[in-house]
Amino acid sequence: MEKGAINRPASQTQSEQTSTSDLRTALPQPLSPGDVAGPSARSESEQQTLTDIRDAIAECDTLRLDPSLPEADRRDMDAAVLTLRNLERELIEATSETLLDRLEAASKPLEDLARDIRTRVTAMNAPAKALEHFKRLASLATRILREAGRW
Amino acid sequence: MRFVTICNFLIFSLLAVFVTASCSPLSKAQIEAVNELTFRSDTITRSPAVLFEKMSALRLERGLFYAASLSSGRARYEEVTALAETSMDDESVVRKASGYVDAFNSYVRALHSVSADARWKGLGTEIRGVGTRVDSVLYRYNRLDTGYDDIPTGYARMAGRVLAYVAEEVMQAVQGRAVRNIVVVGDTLVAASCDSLMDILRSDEMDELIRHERESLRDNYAAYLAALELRGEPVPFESDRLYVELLRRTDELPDIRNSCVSALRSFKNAHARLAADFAAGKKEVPEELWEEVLRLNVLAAQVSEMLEN
Repeated sequence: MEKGAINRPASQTQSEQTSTSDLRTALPQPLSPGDVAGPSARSESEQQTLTDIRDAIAECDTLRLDPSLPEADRRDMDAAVLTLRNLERELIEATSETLLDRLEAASKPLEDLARDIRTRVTAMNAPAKALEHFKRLASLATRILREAGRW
Repeated sequence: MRFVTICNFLIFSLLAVFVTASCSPLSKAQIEAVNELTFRSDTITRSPAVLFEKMSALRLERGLFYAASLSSGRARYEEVTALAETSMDDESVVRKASGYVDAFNSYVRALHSVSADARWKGLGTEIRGVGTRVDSVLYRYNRLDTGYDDIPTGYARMAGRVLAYVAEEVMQAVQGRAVRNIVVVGDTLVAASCDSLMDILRSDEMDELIRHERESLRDNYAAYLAALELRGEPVPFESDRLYVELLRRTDELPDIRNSCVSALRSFKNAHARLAADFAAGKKEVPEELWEEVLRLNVLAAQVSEMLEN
């Protein structure tokens, strides 16, 4: 691997002096839930932004790990990449929440059905449980009669 | 007289068995098919929650590599702190996902329970036990010197065995009716839930999350290596070993997802086939249904092994 370069597919290189604010404005801003027409449009934007953030982080890494970069600039680039990492985390969280909401909606109908089945199973077990008590009583009576016989 | 009573009792019992057996809406093979269908299916339905958990673990590991590539102590501190906080938030996501998929698992486990042999065997066992205990009580009573004639023993045990057999046949008919109603009534909901689960697993969001983890792992490790090279530090051997392990895990994610989708499809098809056969009053389980159930169990075993790694 070339010194200081990140092994990535070929991409356009930006100017070396990319500031934090330039990086933020260069990316499509993450959309809030109320901004778009529907969930599919929002998710497509989230996916595009996730890819863009990944590319932006990789480009930032190429710049900040350049051996010829002064140390002060390298620290500035560290701050910039932390901002991108935070954006990445927010987006992953938003995407996960979308999936969780769908999972919750999918699971609700089966809860009632499962509860109904468990009630039936309890009812089917009831006669056996009742007879178990009677069996214990009979065992107790046997023991009592055995002891009575010993006197 | 006693002989006539015993004969009447046995004839009545046989008639009861015959009537209840003919009333049963399902055959033993069909109930067994339902039991086999639900044997391992809860493994498949918990896959979305496990995928979240695996991706969270991968995210943390690659994040630590990335944190080590940062040049300033302050930046590294902030990154590691953010990783820790995100990891804790991810645990909450995994817990929520596990809670939601538990509804699917509740249905599968409940159906497995209602179709199990224990539902009808338990009552028979208890009745036989009662017959034996009553005989023991009579035997002990006869051993006492009460001055009365001995009560004949052996009949209670025999009656217990016969009644147990009748009770087991009755319970099998009750079980058959319950399983039939549950499968037929629940099939629409099960199909909808399976479709929803499959859609979630195949969704663009899940796809993108998996792809993101796979590509970001490579990028983050490359940054880590570049940073070490810049500082003139050697790469620890264990880092490479960990990276290889993480690569293996990320490459498995699409396989897990695809196996779960296949298994869910298999479960949905087998459940629908059973419901259709039950509704049509068929008593036999076709060969292709057994093959579907077997395929499902094999897929479920594969998924279980992948999820546990």
